[in-house]
Amino acid sequence: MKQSKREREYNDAGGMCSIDILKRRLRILWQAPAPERRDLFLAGGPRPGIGHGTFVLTQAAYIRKRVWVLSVAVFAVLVGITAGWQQDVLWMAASVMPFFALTAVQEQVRSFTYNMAELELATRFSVKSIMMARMGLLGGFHLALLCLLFPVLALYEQMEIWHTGVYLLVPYLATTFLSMVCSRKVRGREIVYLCLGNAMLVGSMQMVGHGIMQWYERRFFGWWILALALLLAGNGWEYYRCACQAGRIYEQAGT
Amino acid sequence: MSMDEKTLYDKIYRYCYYRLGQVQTAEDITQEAFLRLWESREYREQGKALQYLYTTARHLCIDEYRRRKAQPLTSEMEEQLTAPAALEPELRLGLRQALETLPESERELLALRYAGEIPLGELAKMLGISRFAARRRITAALEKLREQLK
Repeated sequence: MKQSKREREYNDAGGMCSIDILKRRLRILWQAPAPERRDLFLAGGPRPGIGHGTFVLTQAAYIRKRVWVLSVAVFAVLVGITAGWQQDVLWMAASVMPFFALTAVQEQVRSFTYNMAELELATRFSVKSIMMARMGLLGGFHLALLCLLFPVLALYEQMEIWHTGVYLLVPYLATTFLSMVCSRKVRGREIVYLCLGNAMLVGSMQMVGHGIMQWYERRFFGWWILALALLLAGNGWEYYRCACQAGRIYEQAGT
Repeated sequence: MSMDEKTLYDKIYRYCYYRLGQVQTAEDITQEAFLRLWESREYREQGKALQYLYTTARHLCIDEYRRRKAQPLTSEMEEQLTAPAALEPELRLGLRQALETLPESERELLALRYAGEIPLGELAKMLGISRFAARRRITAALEKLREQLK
């Protein structure tokens, strides 16, 4: 090995070598021959998939920030209404719920809005699993926020907590259901306006229903339970159909 | 930023070679460590691949070392352990002897840094210490080594 001027000076002086020279010598001492089977091994090595939990969490980073911000903003409006009026507030909170749902729907229909579903289906993860993960995340986030609101509303309205849950979830699920139906039927940016229309329709229904029929009274509660059950089933069915439709887009693209 | 698999492979292989002094065995252990990493989902997904590989490789090297003690050295092993490095023989011998005087933990640290060529930041993460502490430990070990070489 050719010695550097500095190294020669140290060696000639019979003194200690510098730390830099020592580092270099250690590197040389421990130099290993090039591996022989690396490329073959890495090329043939198994590539196991990503775990479900990690996959869902990674999707959280891809949900647009404005969706999270909007969710919190609409929730803040809900809290503001509840805290401000304190009495006969349920119908108002229920009227705002569709707009709360709209923030999640906005993310759900993103692929279809920008005509990107076909491309997304060809990526590492299918659009079905991405949709499922994002809806799960946003739905979970919304439910967690609402769980904070249910007891407060129950206190002001003097009813059981789960009753307020039913009253608020029905308009939420009605909006998601209608929006999913629209996303299957329509393509492009129109979906956003249709979803907004759905939210306004469901929201105004809450006001009208309360004004004309007083439908938050206890005698109608059986109907609310029925509506909730139907909407849960309807949302599941619509989600399945949306996923199937996404699959069909992929098949059409492949032919 | 996480390292690609080739870089990880090279680092672990160099470390194994430092421990065992044999290309074939070093590669076998490196590959075994990778196979275990691919099976272990959580480490891979948490971006702790290097830590996992290093710990696995280290244990496998210790096992191999124990196994070898029970067996006589083959001619291939002897040849590789005495293979001439690009250092003068007396310098190499002096350095080896000086390294022997260091505690195992410091020798390991130097080997990871200079045999495995693991960057300081990654090394600090692997050891669960700050970058500054890792640098200080390495410098202290180098100073000791230099003292021994005096």
